Amino acid sequence: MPRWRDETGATAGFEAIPFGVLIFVLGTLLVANAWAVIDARFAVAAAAREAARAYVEAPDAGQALVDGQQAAQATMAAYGRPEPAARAELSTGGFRRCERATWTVTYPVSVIVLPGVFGMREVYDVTASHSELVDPLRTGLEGEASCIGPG
Amino acid sequence: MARDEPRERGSVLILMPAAVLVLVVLAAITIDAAVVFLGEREVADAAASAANDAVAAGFDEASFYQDSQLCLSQARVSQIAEASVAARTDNAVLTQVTAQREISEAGRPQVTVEVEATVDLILAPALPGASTTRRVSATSTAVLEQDPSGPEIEVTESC
Repeated sequence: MPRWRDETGATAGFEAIPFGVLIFVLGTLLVANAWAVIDARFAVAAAAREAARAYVEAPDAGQALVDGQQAAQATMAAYGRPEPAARAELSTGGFRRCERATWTVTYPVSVIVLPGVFGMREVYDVTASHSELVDPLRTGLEGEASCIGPG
Repeated sequence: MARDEPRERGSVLILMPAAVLVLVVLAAITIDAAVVFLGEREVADAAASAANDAVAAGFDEASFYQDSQLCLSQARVSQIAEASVAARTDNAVLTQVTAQREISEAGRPQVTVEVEATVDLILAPALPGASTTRRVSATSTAVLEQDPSGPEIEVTESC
């Protein structure tokens, strides 16, 4: 076992270790938290888009809601988030000609609270929405195919 | 040589925090790159959705129902495209939406939508001299196709 012959460099090294560990731990947690939110944002944006597309292309109003929900859940599952924590809902619009249907998907992301960062929450709700217009000339819907008015 | 050897002991320890700091900065750059990529995807989605909506519902109704002609109204196309983009909640801050009606080479009506936006970076502001925003844009074109089993409708450029 080697023996210490002098104390050269020991002070600087021992000072640096806790500082380095602090930077490493906080920095890694910060990056991990940011990535978790961004990754969830990718997932909910895709889920909202697929839900809106499935909704406006469904054969009827009842099936449209089911198709929208299923498309959102399937997309979240494809992004590796199969648990039912994601909330997908038709936030505005309906299944009528020229109606703008907006789907909103929300997913709670649990993050690691960093020591010393005030105001940091344990859960962040990541939300995305996407809207599609129900085709005015499609078949199978009641009403006049007129889109005059607010888009 | 043998006398110098002990003097280097522990010196690598001081390099470790600097190395870790470099790794954390690289990770921060990666996070911001992902944010920009997310913004690009959102803008592309917005452009595609707006073009799809505008070409499907932007036809001039008077020409369609009275004269049996299919003609895209520029005012209507712009209105629908802007409404489509405005209905979104994106991470990117959408700054400009441009929608243009056209006739494709195959003689079909089409709409081209260009969307511009800025993305606020998350960790770059902590780095001295780094830009805090990034500009992203996307262009999408949607072509209106007729059902081949239905009646042929004349396409006109001006309404």
